[in-house]
Amino acid sequence: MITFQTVANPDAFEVPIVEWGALSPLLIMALAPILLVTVSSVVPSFKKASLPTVYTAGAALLSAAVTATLWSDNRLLMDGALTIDRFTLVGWLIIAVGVAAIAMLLDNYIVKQGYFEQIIEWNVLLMISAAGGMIVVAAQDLIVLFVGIEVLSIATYVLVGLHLRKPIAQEAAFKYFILGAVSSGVFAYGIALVYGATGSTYLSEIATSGRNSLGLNPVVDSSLMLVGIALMLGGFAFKVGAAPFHSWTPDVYQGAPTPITAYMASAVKVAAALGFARVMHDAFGEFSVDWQPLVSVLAVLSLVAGSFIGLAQKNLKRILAYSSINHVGFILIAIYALDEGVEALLFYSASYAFTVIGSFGILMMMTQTEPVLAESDDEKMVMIGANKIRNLESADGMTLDDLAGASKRHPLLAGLFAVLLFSQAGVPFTVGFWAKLQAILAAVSVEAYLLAGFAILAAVVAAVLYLRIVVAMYLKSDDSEPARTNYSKLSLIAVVACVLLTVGLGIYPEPLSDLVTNAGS
Amino acid sequence: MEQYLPIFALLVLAVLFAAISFIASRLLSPSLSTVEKSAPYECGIIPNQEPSERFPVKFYLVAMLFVIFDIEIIFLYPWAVEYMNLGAAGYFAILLFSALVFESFIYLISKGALDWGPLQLNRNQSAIAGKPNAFSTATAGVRIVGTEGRFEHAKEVA
Amino acid sequence: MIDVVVFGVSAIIVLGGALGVVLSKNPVRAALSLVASFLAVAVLFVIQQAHFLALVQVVVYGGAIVVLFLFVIMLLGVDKVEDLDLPERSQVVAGIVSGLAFFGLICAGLFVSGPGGDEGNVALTGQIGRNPIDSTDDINQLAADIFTRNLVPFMATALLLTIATIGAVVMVKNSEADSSLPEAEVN
Repeated sequence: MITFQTVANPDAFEVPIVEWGALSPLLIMALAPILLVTVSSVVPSFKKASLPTVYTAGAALLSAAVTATLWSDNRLLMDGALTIDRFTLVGWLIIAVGVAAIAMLLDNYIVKQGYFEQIIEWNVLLMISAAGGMIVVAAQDLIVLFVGIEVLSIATYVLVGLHLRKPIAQEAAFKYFILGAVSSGVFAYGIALVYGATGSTYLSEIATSGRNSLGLNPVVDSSLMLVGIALMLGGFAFKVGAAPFHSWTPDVYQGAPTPITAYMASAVKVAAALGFARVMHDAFGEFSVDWQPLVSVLAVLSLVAGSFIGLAQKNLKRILAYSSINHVGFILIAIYALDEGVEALLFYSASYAFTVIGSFGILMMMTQTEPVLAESDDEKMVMIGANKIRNLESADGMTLDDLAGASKRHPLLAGLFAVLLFSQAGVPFTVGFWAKLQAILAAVSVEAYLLAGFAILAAVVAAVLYLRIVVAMYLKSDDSEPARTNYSKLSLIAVVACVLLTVGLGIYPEPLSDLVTNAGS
Repeated sequence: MEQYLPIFALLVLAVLFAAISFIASRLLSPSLSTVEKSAPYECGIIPNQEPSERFPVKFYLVAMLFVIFDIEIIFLYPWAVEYMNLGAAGYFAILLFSALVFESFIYLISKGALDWGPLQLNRNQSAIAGKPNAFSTATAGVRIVGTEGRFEHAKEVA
Repeated sequence: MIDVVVFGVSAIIVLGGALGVVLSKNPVRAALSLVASFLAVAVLFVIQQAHFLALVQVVVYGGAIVVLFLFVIMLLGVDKVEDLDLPERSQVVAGIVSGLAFFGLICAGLFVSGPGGDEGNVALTGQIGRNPIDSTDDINQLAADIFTRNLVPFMATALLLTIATIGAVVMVKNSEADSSLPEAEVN
């Protein structure tokens, strides 16, 4: 038995108590990749078929299951660095389940694109990035938040560039990295100014900082604080891809490997949005008069840019990228509405996450299984094995024209895709309808009628965006035969689960709305 | 700040040494420059192509790894200064941190990122030998000749 | 008095180095100006009694980071000015304008900020009731901070370092594998 301290030390620091139980979802997500990389380095035979995928999806689902067992917890952890409440837990659940789905999509993608050598790295980076996202969602301290955002985004920069033979992916990774680094710098500057104004990085202490004996807050007049808030707002707006900080989104979404696009559009965006909401509500609640106008401008610009510019796009991934900017507009409306909007925010984030994972998943499966066409000399033809196939993934991706006849070639996928697109458009009996309704109702409940009006307008315009895709799949005449392709089972399971959730929660949304109620902090 | 005086003195000495060396060589050495003297020397043969200007990407990897382990040492330093007061909890914290960082070291070794020269050549050749391709026969590193070995053909097969 | 002189000299070196980075046509010279700037910042830290930060500044920034910069410059083969795409005039103007605007924003934040110690300006005189200078050594304070209240970001940093290793290796090893094809055949 080794004793580390034989004599009681009067100078000993008070170390925080580690609540292993409450931290376990995060610990699983953070330590599983470390274990994976170590084991696969020592035992090379671990890199076999779908074993890493099963491991990743299993770890993510375990993390989600443990999150579910913590459901009624509500307390601070690690000396107030992290917090466990309904808000955190919903965020953790979205991220963990999202990672499981993405890992299942990645499995077949990696093999098809010829990156089986790197399968461990794809999965490890995915899980570490998700652990960063979980830190962001739970952070109660600006330093923790910043490090979490960096873990989340730096791993994502690498993931975007992992399609090493695709120049457009390299370009996307580089763009994302440069702009992301600048936005991180702006964000860190904001944190520094807020710390300078208040003397604390804890959200709760920032909220009550500088109160004098009369309970007044002298910091309210502090322009230092306001500049800090504005800079942090800019940093967050970049991370969630809100207009006018959105210009990286279409390029990066188009260039990134499609499953990674799904990851960025779902888990990364949700984590950033929830961290955004928590900082704005918990730390800067007293300044809401100052930042609410900025958020509403961001929301309106995102709604308009997402729907209108999206209409001018031909490439499917770019269309979906603009649609995700449009969704950010709704999320920002929910953030604008403060306490009234917390449930709408969580409901929207959750429903949006699995809808968008399903959409990009289907896009990936269609792109990879597109058969050989008669005229075979365009630049999209590449040699895979002994066959010449039309590999849209390693070119610039699928356009609306490539979708012609997709309903005949991929009857199942086209049907599922249509359902998910209807959900994104907010058609009744899909979960997207309830999500959009809640966001608009949240705006109405804080009497932001103009914002609600813009949201409805943007939803109508965006519906055209999605209908164009459905029309291209079903109405463009084409005498294609059903493709003789066997889809990857894991990808199909992930996609079908997303569609089932979309329809099931669309008809009966109570489970999800029960999940997010009482989430206000 | 007094403890930095030696560093300052060293700085001044270094600057002086460099300056004096330059000036002295300028003043003392005879300068009889000819074309042959100023031409680059390469084993006595007149170079007919520019030397490659780019570094291999491998060097970058080493620099990157240097930064990573540098940062780890920076974190070890405050722990080492205060380790008596940090007690067992601090010990386990730094242990976990080191484990997390050194796991990437295991990864590096297994990937062969630190193999140089013959070791790496060996690794590459054994990898090629495992997978027969147009550039080598299945058993040895001998290149296939004829149309079969041409790159266009290889691209079609691959 | 000596503090003021040291501050003045190192501030000039900091700004001169920074200007050298921006104005130098040769990337290698720009990187070396950065070293000068970093070293002078380390001296500034020493004046503030932040000895550990000075050490980090020299070891990590002046040492490792600039070495990395130099490697990248060599790697890309842009160590001569004719290899560079210099920015267009409009880009330079836009950069200067946005830089000045940002500078103005920060200055506005600093000088118009709310009341702080002795009812002065919070950005210039500090927070009410807080004494920024502690008698204990900065490294002890840092250790106390990292291993108690900042344990979570400390551990998350380990994740960041893992990402950096894996990312660097997976990118570099693959580009090596691609370039290991016989080059004469490719050309």
